[in-house]
Amino acid sequence: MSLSSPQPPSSRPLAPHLQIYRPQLTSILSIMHRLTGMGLSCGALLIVVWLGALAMGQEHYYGVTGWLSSPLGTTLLFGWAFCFYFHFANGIRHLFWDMGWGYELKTVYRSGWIVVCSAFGFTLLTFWKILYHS
Amino acid sequence: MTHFHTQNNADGFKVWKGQRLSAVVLIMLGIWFLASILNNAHADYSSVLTWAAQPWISALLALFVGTSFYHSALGLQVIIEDYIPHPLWQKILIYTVNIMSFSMVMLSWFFILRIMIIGSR
Repeated sequence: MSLSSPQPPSSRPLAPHLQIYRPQLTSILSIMHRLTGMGLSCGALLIVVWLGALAMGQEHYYGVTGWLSSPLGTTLLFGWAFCFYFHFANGIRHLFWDMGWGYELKTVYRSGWIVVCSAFGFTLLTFWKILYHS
Repeated sequence: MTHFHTQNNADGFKVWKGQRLSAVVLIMLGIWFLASILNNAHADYSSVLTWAAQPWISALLALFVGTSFYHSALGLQVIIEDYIPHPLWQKILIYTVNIMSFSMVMLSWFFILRIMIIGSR
């Protein structure tokens, strides 16, 4: 076998490179926690804009809320709400881990699915309330 | 988590602790804030202003924004430490995040103060 052989012999164990891992719920949720955290950091700027509009007067406030009602604004709010619910639910999961609870593999997966379902469920519920219960 | 930390272990523990303390505070303030903006979603300007200008509401808003940006800055710091290997860039980025977060909190508090003044007129 030459040194430049692209494939290692199959009898040897492979080095654990990230690319060869099968995506698992646990790793995806871990990455999602950081991504939604970054999303919420950007969303926090929106809160500053909202407070600024409220402080600067009626026409500014309606300007901002009008823009947020546009398709682009609504999509952003939709994403913000999802980030909020996901990060919130998974954050509580992390706090339980910090207290030493929930490390059994079965519990890790069960709590993971609860996070996924509640993130999507609460996002849909929120927009159902906003759009149809005005 | 990586070999590139510029902070020492004591600082790392301070970040870890601050992240969790602010998380617990944000569980309560987050629910409150979200419920409030959902309630105010279809309200007109003057009723939102009157609502926000109440002393207790203003105080909670100020606390929520402050805790949010603190939690956000700590989280972004950990992400930068994990993914930016170059120590100088790491320092510059963390500095930028901290300065921006601090400025945003100050700006928000200024806005909230102004809301209190014009809302109580």
